[in-house]
Amino acid sequence: MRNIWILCAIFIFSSCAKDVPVPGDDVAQGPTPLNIQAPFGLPQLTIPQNNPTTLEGVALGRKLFYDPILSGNNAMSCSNCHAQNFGFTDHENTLSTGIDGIAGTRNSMPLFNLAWAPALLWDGGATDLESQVLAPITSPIEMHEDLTNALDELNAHSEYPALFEKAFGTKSATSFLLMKAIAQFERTMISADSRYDRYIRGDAQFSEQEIRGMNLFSDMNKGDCNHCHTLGGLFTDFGYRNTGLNLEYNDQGRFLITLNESDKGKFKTPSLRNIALTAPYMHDGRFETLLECVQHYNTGFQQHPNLDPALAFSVHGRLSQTEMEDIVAFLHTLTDSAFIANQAFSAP
Amino acid sequence: MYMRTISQAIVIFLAILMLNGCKKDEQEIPQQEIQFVIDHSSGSTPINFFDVFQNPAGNSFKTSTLKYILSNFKLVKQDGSFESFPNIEVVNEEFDTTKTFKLNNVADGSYSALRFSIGVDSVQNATLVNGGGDLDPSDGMVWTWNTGYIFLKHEGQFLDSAGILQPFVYHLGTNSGYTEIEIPLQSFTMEGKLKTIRLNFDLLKAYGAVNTLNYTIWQNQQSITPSDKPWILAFKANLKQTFSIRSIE
Repeated sequence: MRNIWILCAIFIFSSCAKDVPVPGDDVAQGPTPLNIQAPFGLPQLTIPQNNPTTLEGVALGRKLFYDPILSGNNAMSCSNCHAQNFGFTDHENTLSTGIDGIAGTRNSMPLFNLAWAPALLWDGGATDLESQVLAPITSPIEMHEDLTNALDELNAHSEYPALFEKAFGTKSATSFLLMKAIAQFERTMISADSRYDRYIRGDAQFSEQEIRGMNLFSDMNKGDCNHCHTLGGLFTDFGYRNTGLNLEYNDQGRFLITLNESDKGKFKTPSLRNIALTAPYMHDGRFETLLECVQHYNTGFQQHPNLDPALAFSVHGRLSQTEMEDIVAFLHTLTDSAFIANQAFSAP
Repeated sequence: MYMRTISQAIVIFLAILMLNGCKKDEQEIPQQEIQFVIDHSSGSTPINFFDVFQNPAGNSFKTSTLKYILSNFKLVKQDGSFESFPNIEVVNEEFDTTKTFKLNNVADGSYSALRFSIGVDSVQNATLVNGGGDLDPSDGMVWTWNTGYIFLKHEGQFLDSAGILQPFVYHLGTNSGYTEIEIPLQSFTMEGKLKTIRLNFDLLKAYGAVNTLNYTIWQNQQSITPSDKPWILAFKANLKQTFSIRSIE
């Protein structure tokens, strides 16, 4: 009889309570906010209000990033085409290749400083980091996974439900939470500690050649690299440009998104940070070396109708061999060795 | 025995208390709702996935998928002011439950027009994270390589001029494909608790109300190539005429 009373009392007192935090229970307390700071030299950074960064969200995103569970045959993860050693690019293939062995038309983009990117992918087709997450997972020539299937696998997994609960307060993996978790992890992948950064901070020296290269980089009549790959900060203006790689493009780039004729053959200006690590170069991985890239901008570009004016009006062959080598020497100072060694971004 | 009866009474009392105890003091304001029921037809005949119909261009066709997003519902008053509703609905011919939905908290008054859109507006179309409210990307109504929602899917097969069965695929999307629809209401007054508006979506109008669309010319239209630009405009003009009110109760 007494037990009934106690049961009733407990029942009544607990029935109206909602999510009372239990001390020491990290699920009940919710995820731990993670304040991502823009390091010295990088612009202010805005985190979207609908996806605040948390320790648990980042940890989940990192696990997902490295987990082949998100591919159709459970054999390929994001990291297959985005390898940390190479600034999170695909070093293995000229054209990145999916689970079915089908090559696409592009070499995968590097992944760092994405928190500042106004749009993702070579053609800017993905308008935010969260939305981008689904593109490679569902693309038939990439990870070729059915989203519903991926979520079913995550929900049936021995570890993921608990990780989703820690990160988002629910055991259930949904499209939105999958997108948010990976985007959170990607926002933490910040690279701003190259020798260039330390030189700017006064903590490192440049050789004479590197200084010459840096000056040529910004010289409007010489490298003029600075025109698009803004010197300092993010080393890109995130614009889309036709750089005269072809007279006819089989992959029309930005045009595929906007359908504007003037966008044919335009691709996003990639950051030049870590550029010495991210070969092969250009959207289609056509160049193996940085010198080939500089040669392209010096003499190699073709007169496509949409060729960027900065190139169209540049003097053909304006750089000597030595000057090109100087620029390449400068580009090597943009390598952030700490970034590619950072355990926080490696496979968990 | 007596004790036991009292105990039981108290337990029952507490149980009642408990069951009521969590309710907030919600005044019993009558929830005024408009329920929509959507029918899909080809002319006056209801659509069945296996039935063959003829579109205004003369193509014999059958439908395998008819699915679209409706959003930005508004009830417009005589003076031009309107009531807005947050609903974003995916209507799928395959599932009857998707063909019925409600607008909640409809204010009293007379309304002269009903507005809604096929697709989501440019703000909602700019992200796949809650851009379309609860629309889940796994529902298949998104483009992932070019962020945005597929506003309408109509897929099926038709007989080409040689009598060979061919597929057709119509995927309407991109901000230029966003289709606003206005249907005039004849002296519609909201005063009761619930009104039911039965809407009809007529495929024959979708393919010929304004512009006649021939599947042999427009066969695989996915809003992704320059040739889709004129198709989007032509299809959109038709879609504006595709819905009609069958009944209001």
